[in-house]
Amino acid sequence: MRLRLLTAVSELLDKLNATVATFPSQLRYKNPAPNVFGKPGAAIFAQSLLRLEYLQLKYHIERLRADRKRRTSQGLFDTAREIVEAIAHIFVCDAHVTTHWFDWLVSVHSLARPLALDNKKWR
Amino acid sequence: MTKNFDADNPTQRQSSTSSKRALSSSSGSPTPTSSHRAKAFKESTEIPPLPSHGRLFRPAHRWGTSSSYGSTSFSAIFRENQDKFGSDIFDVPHTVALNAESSAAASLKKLNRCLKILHTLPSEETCGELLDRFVTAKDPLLAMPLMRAAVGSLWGTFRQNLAAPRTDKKLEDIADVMKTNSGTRWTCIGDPAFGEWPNICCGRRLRWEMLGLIFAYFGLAYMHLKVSDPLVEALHEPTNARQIAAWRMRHCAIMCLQTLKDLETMNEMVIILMRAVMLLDNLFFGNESKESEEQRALLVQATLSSGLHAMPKSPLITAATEYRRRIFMSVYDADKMMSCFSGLPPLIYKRHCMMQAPLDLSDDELLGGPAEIAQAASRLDEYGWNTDGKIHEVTTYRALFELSKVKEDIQENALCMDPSSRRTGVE
Repeated sequence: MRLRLLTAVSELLDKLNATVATFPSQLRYKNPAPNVFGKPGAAIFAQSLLRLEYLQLKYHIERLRADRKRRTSQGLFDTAREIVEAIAHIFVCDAHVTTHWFDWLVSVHSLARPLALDNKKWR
Repeated sequence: MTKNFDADNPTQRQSSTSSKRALSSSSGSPTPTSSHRAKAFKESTEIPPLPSHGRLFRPAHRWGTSSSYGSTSFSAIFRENQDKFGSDIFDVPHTVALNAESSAAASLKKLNRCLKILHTLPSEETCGELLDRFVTAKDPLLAMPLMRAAVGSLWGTFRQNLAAPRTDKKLEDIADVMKTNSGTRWTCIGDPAFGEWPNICCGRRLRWEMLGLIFAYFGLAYMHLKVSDPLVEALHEPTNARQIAAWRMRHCAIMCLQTLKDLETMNEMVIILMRAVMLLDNLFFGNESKESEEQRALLVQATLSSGLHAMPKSPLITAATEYRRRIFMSVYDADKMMSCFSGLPPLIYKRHCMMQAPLDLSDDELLGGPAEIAQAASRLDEYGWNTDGKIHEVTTYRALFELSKVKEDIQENALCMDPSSRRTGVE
């Protein structure tokens, strides 16, 4: 049963990455310029929003794969850290969207924290 | 299987008579408790009268197209063998809505509701300011050109009626127009007037659907204003001015929806209105609230009943067909998003739907006319994305639609109650 789950998880990740690969270039996430705290514009907002959606799905997939007992894994921790960075980038674009995601970030943090406490890697 | 109330059935007639007798005996009883109950019952004006013909059965195909109801529907066997059964198999008697304009009381109630709604509409100047400030609703259904055209035609047609000071007498003209229009059939695919969409519910053709949508849009606009905005300060509310104004707009949109429900009207514009009210409710109550879950269920039911999940692939590209695809996309995305939030299973599954995304056309191109649509569509790539490098409102949502399909696969695995039935292959 565990093998069935891991197979499904692997296929889900492949499908997620294949889906994102079909997006046009104007939607592909580009690391924003340092001076992002200005008026980033619709393009950065759209790219960051889709990046956040992609990371959310990746996070849920990692949760499926995570250790059943502690419900944490290195993949989960890494994804959670990417989510924090993506939310920081989108923060200046739309506060409403950010508050929506901030609530979710709190739950992400609470789940990733056990691993961080164990490994003392959390910053 | 639907149960039919048959007035000719002696058993049912007897039970109906005895229930009437029970009401009359309770009204004549000397005991204070029963008389209070009877008085409360008599004073209630919210219960509609039973139709005189006594028939409550409404055939399923009344709402959506016949193709949207699958092979397991009750009428499927008759549709498939219509030639053998003959044409009279579909001779279903016309039924009126339970709360239709059949009584003076119901008509007066609707008139009062309409007047209350029209009194709440902001002034023309405020309407213009809200449209200028709220540039994007972040949903491809609430296209700015559509809302501008709708508000513009409302004031252009009824400026004298809506100008201050508004009186009931002046607003009754608008109410009469809406009453007439609500009795006309909504335009469908294949209808000669189809190409005029969305003008079919604006101006002198104003309908409850469009009026409600305008209020819902203004509600969203108020919620997105800054606290220091002059429009907010002009409301003269000590606290929560934006929320109060948006709440009033929401209330009017809800009243329009209630009227449409009373008239048993269901079409694409009603679904857009439901979606807009849901966006507003998400701001007031949150995504995990009971209200949002109820809205989601109603929205999904309306979408499926209207056949928006079963639109066949067609080379025909019009504003209406693309808008129908946008509606389904928006509802599908919302269902997955709320399912993710709440942890409840989704209500729509892609294997029961035609999953064709709308084309990556800007709102101006889509509502510009057939020639402009054809020209813009010719510049799209094979997957329907624009090749100009632009990001329209619908561009982001097309991408979210693709991600929502993956989200459904994830939810199927994550929310699966029986691990042994978990599917290893993803579609």
